[in-house]
Order: sequence, then structure tokens, then C-alpha cells
Amino acid sequence: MNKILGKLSIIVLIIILLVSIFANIISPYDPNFQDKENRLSGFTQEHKLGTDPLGRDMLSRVIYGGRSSILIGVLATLVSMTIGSGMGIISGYFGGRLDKFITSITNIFQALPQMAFTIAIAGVLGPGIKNLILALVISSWAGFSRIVRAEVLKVKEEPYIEAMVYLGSSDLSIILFHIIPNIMPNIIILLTTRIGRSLLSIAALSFLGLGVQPPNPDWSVMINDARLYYRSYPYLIVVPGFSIFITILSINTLGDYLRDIFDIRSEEII
Amino acid sequence: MGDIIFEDFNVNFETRKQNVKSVRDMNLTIKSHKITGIVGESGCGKSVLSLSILGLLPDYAKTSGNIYYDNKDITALANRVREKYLGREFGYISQNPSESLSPIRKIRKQFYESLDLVEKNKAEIEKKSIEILKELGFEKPLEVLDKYPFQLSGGQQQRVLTGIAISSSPRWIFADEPTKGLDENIKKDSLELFKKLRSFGIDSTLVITHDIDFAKNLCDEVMVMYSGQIVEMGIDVLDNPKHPYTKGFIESMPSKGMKIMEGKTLSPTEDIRGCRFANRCGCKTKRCDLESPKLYNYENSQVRCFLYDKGE
Amino acid sequence: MIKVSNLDKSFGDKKILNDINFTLKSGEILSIVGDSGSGKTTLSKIILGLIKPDRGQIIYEGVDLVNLGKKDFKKYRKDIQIISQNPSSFFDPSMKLGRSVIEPLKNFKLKLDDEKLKDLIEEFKLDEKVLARYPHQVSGGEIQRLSIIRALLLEPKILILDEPTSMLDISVQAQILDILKRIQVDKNMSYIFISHDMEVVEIFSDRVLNLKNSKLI
Repeated sequence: MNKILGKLSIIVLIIILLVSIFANIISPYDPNFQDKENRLSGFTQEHKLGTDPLGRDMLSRVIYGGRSSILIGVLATLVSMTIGSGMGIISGYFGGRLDKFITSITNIFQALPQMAFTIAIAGVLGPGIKNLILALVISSWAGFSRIVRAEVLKVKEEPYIEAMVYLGSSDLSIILFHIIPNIMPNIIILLTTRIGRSLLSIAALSFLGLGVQPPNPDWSVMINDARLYYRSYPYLIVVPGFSIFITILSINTLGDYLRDIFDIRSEEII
Repeated sequence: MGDIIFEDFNVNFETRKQNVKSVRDMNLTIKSHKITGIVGESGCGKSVLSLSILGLLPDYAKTSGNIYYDNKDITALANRVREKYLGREFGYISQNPSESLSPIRKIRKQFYESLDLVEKNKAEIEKKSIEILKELGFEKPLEVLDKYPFQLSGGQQQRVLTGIAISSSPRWIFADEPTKGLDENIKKDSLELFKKLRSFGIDSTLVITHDIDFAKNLCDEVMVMYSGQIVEMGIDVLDNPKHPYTKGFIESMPSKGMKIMEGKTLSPTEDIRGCRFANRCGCKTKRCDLESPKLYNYENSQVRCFLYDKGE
Repeated sequence: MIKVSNLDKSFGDKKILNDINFTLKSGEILSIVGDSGSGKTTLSKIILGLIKPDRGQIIYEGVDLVNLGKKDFKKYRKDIQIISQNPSSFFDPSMKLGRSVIEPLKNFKLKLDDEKLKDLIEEFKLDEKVLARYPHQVSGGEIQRLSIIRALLLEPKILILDEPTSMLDISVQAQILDILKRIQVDKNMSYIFISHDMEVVEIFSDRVLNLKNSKLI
């Protein structure tokens, strides 16, 4: 069952990615074109998913709407993964004072509730895509660092790492060729779940006006725009909400699926 | 009554890439009221054989053929029924005592759990477990009940595990590699322990082991397993081996001079027409490559080798 | 070859090794026997330079290895290798065995001699295919042979055998000890053979030291 869902999630994510990349070809209208005659049209021939209060085509906006969120989410998560993993590996592998120092810093960052912390940073830095990425990285690298450090500590105790010492490996080659490959599966699983979480944060920040700015077509911006009208026109909120929901669900399912795949290798017959 | 009878029994582990045939065309009777030993080296299928009696094979194992116990085909029973039925009849002592005892529960709790099927009264259980532990050589059984497994030594853990297995008075006890990883002096205790089982009214025991000395000293009947098949069985197999494999296996013991038996066991994924030991055998003839030997009666053993085929 | 004198080591309050003295002669197999917990593994780790003793000397080629820094030790590291009892955990599970086997050569900036590797594989009666597998895909006997090959490629002078066959079947044990003995004679190597099996020790070694209550007797 998990297998089918996992493969399904990959297909869904590929579709979402393709749609976002080729948005300008697929979408029937310019996402910012205002069809003044057909405002809040409901589902019609011309506007399959209706129009918003300014007469913009919902289908086109949904197609474009994943672009910025996904790009920002993936980029921010990759950056915090790199920083966090680097810190985690250094502190886990070398231990001692360096470890204490890095661990206390991560503890400080971890002590703050993440959502509030992200909002605070984004608020201080002001709106904008660059600042949004920065806010996400600052608030989430420590999580990577902690988990990676724990993984490194586990792998470091393995006899084959100790063996590399008398077999002449340097610290750098132990880290590059033996530690990293063995913690990679866990990092990748972590990465997928964190991308999901970043997307959620971006949606929340944009909704609060701290993330992607209107009139940029973005799912969260669309939800924000719909606040005044959604009681009478629920599709305004359902359409972008559903898109966010499907994307994050698929990413998380993919994470579970990857966990299963990586587990197979450790499973032995008889 | 009480015998375990295999009929054309096979166990396969199928993965995407290969089909591992662990147990091949097993036709065998393991008699009750005896201590039977299945001796063999790793990968020969001996553990798989015992797990299939207990119904503990993993889900991806495929079996064919039947296993009869008390005239019932236990492979045909639904899992829940089988568990309940076998829980009363069979006791299992697994390979690694420290891993089979729950680390976070006191020994007392673990006795309660295993006796759940037969006895609900806690005072009764306590009385009984104290009795058993005393018999098994614990001087202060009450204290043992209040300990966690990590507070016991390896040998003590094994005794406790055995105590739990026999506490529900099963008819059969199965032990998987009871001496693996134990120090030499604990091995001796372990031997005594298994000999003692009879005094608890359990006289049907199946021991799976690679330890020749242990099997020789303990078992009434020994079956030697190689590459998924029984190659030799009888009452004095280890004192008076007949099959070339059994001979080679025994001679590779340090006490017998560690003679070398060349070659490697045929992979369990490989099917061949002839004898599965032929590639390592010093007495190989043409026939060994062409035909698969059956178990032939010779003196008081049965041997799977053409050397003992008298053309019956 | 190597001279160990007055070696002490404690972990916390527990004395693991107490005043250990012995000399390993060139070209001999010296057995060290003792029950589990008698400090055999600690002793081998000290000789390998993985842990420092509290007191004592290990003289090899006129140098006291105990007092060497990490860099100076590297020169001698190649000469002293170990085969452990559980070889599968001494290979990186994410790396193919072939790469694992030749990796140490690169570390010591030695050239891989394909012929030599082939000869060793043949001598150990292995199939070359095992080099393309991962550690969990081969048997205990095969991976132990590979771990010996990995050590021998470095041409060590001293090989510590830490219960190298205690996890293996006895027929495999006989095969592996036989090859080890042949190689020792061929290359005039010195072995320290750690074991708890007196029968094996008697057949395999030239001299026996008994480690009991953290002392040699």
C-alpha cells in the first residue's frame, strides 16, 4: 500500500513541477490579466475554475501559484540542510569543545518556537523573497544540525570507522567517504519532510503579508486575497488551499516511501 | 502421538532477484519422548526448519507440503489458531537470551505473560515460577523475579528463559543454538540445564545447534543437515559418521586436528540434478552428478549417499 | 619484533590490564588466551595505537609507540594490522567490498598491484565476484577472508588476530586458519593470536600467554 502511495506521490510531484515550469505554456490566461466583465464568475466555459474578485483567471493563477512557493521552499531547505549538516558533522565527529560550542548555539536556536521565530525574523527583515529565504534558513538550520549530529555520533561508534583509523584514513576522508554516505539516507528523508514544512511556513508567512507579495500569483497570496469573499465564493479559498494540501501531502508521503526504500538495504534474508 | 512429521516440505525465500531454497523436499519424522538434535553449519536451513514448525517464518517465506502434529496438519491452521494451539504445546528457547527477554520488564512480569494462557492466578504463577527457578539452580528465586534481565549474567538469562519456556508445561521444547556465543564453562551449565528438562516432565526436545560436542553429549538422535537436506540421521551419527560431509565436518573440529574440508557449500539458490555435496566430496563418482541420492538405511543410521545404497 | 612492558590500563575504577609484559619474536605465532572480559581486546587496541595506556611501553623498531603523536605514529601504522572477530562490522555497509579492500592502499599512498590482489583472492579460494558485492550480501567466511586480504595488501609485519574465527563455522575456521598459517610461514610474519579456545590455540600457535584477572601468567 505504502509502495503505491509512494509512487503516486512521485508522479503527482513530477506533474506539479512540470506544470510550474511550463506555466506560461499551459495556462490559458496571463495570471494578472483582469477580465473586468467576468468578476467572481464561478466555473464557466471561459474560466474553468472561475475568476477572482478582480476578474483574474483562477486556473491560470493556480498554475503559476506553485512556482515561487516551491522554489523558495526547496532553496531555503537546501541551504539550511547544507549549513545544518555541516555543523552537525563537525560537532558530532570532532566532539570536545567544538561540539559543546556548536551544540549550545543550536540549542539556543531550537529553544525558540519555530513559527513565531520565523515570523519575527521575516518581520524584522521586511517582506521580499530574499528575506523570506533568509528567515526560513535562520529558523530551521539548527534542526538539521541536531539530527545530523546524532546520526554522526551513531555512525562514528561503528567498528568500521575505527578500523579506518589503523587502515590509515585521514579525518577528512573518513567524513567524506564513510560518514556522509552512511547518514545520507536519513538526511534525504529529513530533507523531504522539511521541504513540506517550509512550504507550510511560506504559506503562513505570505498569508500574513510577510512572504510572497501580491499581485504575484501564489497559492498563499490567493488565499489571502480570498479572505473577504470566501463565505459567498468558497472556491476562491478551496482551489489554492487544495493545491497546497496536495503538494505537502505528496512530499510527506514521498518521505515515508523513501524511508521504506532505504530500510530494505538493511533487511537481510534469513 | 506427539511426533512431528514433515511431508514433502519446502521453504523458499523469494526476492525479486533470486529464489533461496532453504529447506528442500523434507520428509522426516521427529519423534517425541526423545532429545533430537539438528546439527549443521550456518545457512544449511536448520533454523528455518525449526521456525517453520513454530509458525514463526517471516511473511515473505513460501512453504509447500505439510507438517503434521497429532495427526493435524499445522501448516493448514490459521495463524491465530496455530499460535494458541502451539503456545500450549511448544516452548521455544531462542538463540540470544538477552534479546528475547524484554529489557524493561522484571522477570516476574515475563513469567506472568507467558503463563497467561494457562494460569490467571498470580499467586499460583509466583509459586510455580519460584519452584522452577529453584530447580534450575537459582538459590534465591524470589530475588531473581524482581530483577531486570540486564542484572543477570548470560548463563542466568538462559536459565530464566528456559524457565519461562517450561513454565507452561509444554509437550515440546525447541532450542535454537543454545550454546552460541557462550563461554566454555557456561556451555557446560547449559548442557546440564537441557538434560534436566526431563525432570520437569518435558521429554520431547528439539535442539538446533552447530556445536558437535554439545549435540553428542545431549541428544538421543542426531540429524545432520546440509544445504537444505538431512544428509544423515541416527543414534550414533557423531561417534560413527558415515556421510562424507559428516566425516569432514567432524574432522574439522580443533580437537580432531582441524583437517580441512575444501570448497564451499552450494548456494541455496542453485538447483542441481545430483548430490548437493558432490562438489566438495572426496568419494565422488559419476552417479553423484547425475542423480540425487535418497536416505539409505545403513547399520543404525540413514545416510544420503550412494556409498550406502545397497540397491534395495 | 615488539616488546610490551609494564602496561597498565583502567577504565574508571576498573583495572582492565595490570602490568602486562611480553615480547613477540619475529616469525612466531604468540597466542594470548583469556575469558571474555579479561582485557584481550583492550590490549590489541593499545598496540594498534587506538587507545593510550595509563602506563607502560610498547617498543617497536626501537621506538616507543605509546608516546608517539598521531603524525609520527602513521609511519608504523601500516606495519601493525588487525583481523577482528566480527569482520562484517569492519566494512562500510554502503561501500562495495572491492573498493573497501583497496582503500587503505590509497591512504598509505601505495600502488595497487592487480596481480597481487588476484593471487590473494585465488589463494583464499574466493570468487572475484564478491568484490562487486556489499558486505551484507556475502557470507561470514567470505568477508573474513576479505578482511585478511585487506590487511595483507598493506604488507604488515605484525598481524593481530582477535578471535578471527569465533563467529564462523568450524569447517570454515579450519580453512581460514590453514591459509593464515601458510601465509605466516611464507612471509615470515609475526602473529598475535587472541582466543579463548584452548584447542585451537594449541594447534595454531608457537607460544601461549594466559591473560587472567588482567595479568599475564
